[in-house]
Amino acid sequence: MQEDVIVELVELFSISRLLQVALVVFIAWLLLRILHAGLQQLIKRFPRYRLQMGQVYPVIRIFMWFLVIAYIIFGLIKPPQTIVFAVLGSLGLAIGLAAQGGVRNLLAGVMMIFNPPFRVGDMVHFGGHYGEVIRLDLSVTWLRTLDDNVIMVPNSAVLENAVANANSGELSEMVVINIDLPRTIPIQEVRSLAMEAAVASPYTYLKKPVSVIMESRYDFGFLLRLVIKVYVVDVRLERRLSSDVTERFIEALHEQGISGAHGDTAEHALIDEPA
Amino acid sequence: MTNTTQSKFLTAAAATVSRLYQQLSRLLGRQAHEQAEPVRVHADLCLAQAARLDRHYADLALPEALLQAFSSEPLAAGDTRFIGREDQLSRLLAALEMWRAGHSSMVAVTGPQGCGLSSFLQQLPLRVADNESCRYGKLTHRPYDINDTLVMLGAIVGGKPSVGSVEELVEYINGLPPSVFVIDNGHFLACRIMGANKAIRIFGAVMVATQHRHLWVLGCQEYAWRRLVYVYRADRYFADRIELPLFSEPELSQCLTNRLQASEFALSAGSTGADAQTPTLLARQLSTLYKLCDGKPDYAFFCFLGSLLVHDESRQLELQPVVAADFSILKQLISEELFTLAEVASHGQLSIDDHRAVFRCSREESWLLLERLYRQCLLDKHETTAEPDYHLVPQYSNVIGSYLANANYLY
Repeated sequence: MQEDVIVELVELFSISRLLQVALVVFIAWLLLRILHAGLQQLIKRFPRYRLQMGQVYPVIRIFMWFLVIAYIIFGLIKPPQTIVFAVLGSLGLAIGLAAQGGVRNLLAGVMMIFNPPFRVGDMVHFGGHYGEVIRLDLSVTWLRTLDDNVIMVPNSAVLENAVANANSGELSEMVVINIDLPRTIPIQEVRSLAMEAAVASPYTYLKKPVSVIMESRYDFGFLLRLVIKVYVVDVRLERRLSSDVTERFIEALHEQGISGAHGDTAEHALIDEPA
Repeated sequence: MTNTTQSKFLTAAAATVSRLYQQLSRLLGRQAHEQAEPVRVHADLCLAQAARLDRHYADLALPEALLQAFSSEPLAAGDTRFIGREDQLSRLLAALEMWRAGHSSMVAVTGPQGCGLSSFLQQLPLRVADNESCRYGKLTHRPYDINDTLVMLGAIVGGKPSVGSVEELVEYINGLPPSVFVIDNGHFLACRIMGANKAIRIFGAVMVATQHRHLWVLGCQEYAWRRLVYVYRADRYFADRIELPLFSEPELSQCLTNRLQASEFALSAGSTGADAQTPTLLARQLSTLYKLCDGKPDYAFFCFLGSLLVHDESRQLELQPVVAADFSILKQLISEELFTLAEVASHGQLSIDDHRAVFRCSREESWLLLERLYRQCLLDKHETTAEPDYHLVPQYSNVIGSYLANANYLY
């Protein structure tokens, strides 16, 4: 029985059939390249819609390869049922034993197609990393962190951990800037300066509200934490906005002589990373 | 699969790829060379810059009367070249009636740069009754501190040379006979410079505190108005906002025809077109002209004058095909340059010091960046003051604004 199956398999994979398969794969690959290049051009032409356009490609690519595989198996090779069952059985066993993690990632990838927690271009906390989603594959997701590292995160992390999406398909996202100040500062004046610094930055997205709140905290002494919540015009400028607002604010404190007036200097302020 | 089926499949696939490529190319604007009518392209965007424009028109040997008729300067009250805007004028008159009936009101008139905002505002004195006072004032710079604000407002209401405090100014303005105060160049109030916030709030507060006695009409460019709304919630304080759109095709036609009549020149083959008003030659080019300038009068004048040939003896004009400008240089700009253009567009104009304050860079960096954009002919500059003020080349402001909005730099 096994010998028959092997003979049938060898007959199925003749040179001409393999060439046909290669041709179909090549055409599918070419179509995807053209589609990708076209989408990239569209994104260049309409940058405002880059996130919406970017989310189309991963889905199309996965469906395209599904179709190609189905066409190759049932349209070109057309294996007899015995071989199909034999191959499926062997594959099932092999996958079941050796590729549990991979299958898990694949399933998570399929789930992400129908219920996407993020899209290409979103800023996410995912698998213990924070960065921009630059590519979505069936089993892994690629992130570019703020330090310009590219990280591959298995999709199964979606099933195991919470995913935080900072912008959910929009170009703007909220940036939280924490600045710790001595408790002796004149609160109203400082608050007003922080607000003005946030609005003055060219990277601030003014269509959405800017807010400044104060919190009391203890860190080797009582401090006031100034929390500036501001939206950035483009997720890629998150760090630049954070730095710009902080610099403007500290400079304004110096100009107003606020630090000196209360015996503290602005250099003593502790500035946190954006959340 | 049979050979016939396979070959059909391959043919269909090849045809699909080819069709997809053609569609994509068309969508991405890469088939210009295949168009039936080749479009001539301006090699030099700089022709529209103030310093070059006069020389350009001199090279074309355009008569002075024609240049004056097609001047982009604001039209004075009653100028026959002012056309359209009936709906907007009636809304302004309705606001005037409300004010006469004793309702507190402030009105904002907004529109894209070059839409004829100043001309529109200058028509208001004609609608005011003889016993009513109407003062038209232009902001010439942005208020950086409270004293500056008080002086500017004092000048607009025609008041005391020196006012000590906000309360004193409010009291003085409320003591004046009821008047209509028209403030042009409101874009100077949309300022993103640290320290100016308080001055601008006080400017608005004085208007609000005196609106029960006077009607305030603020003219402001569209992007600057949006800034005022986002930052100061200005729309909450204004009873009405009158939007001036760019001209429609018939309005543009009427505008060009009126100006031609004012110049006392005639297009050759002077019979009239389909609408019995537009000269035939103009009617033929009108659609192209409208598509090029998107209804923006100053850009339309620039293109129109650039395509005229003058016959001295007969005082007849000949219209050559209208020439499109090439704005592909915008695609080569880097992020800093695009941000600079966006801030210039929303501030109306920026000096080197203003740019430095907005972007927190050194004076040299600001100068380099602004000069580079000036040399690329996307910015123009006024050099009347000690320090030049850079602004978008007026004719191109709409194209640049659309590009920046699409690229998410302007909103």
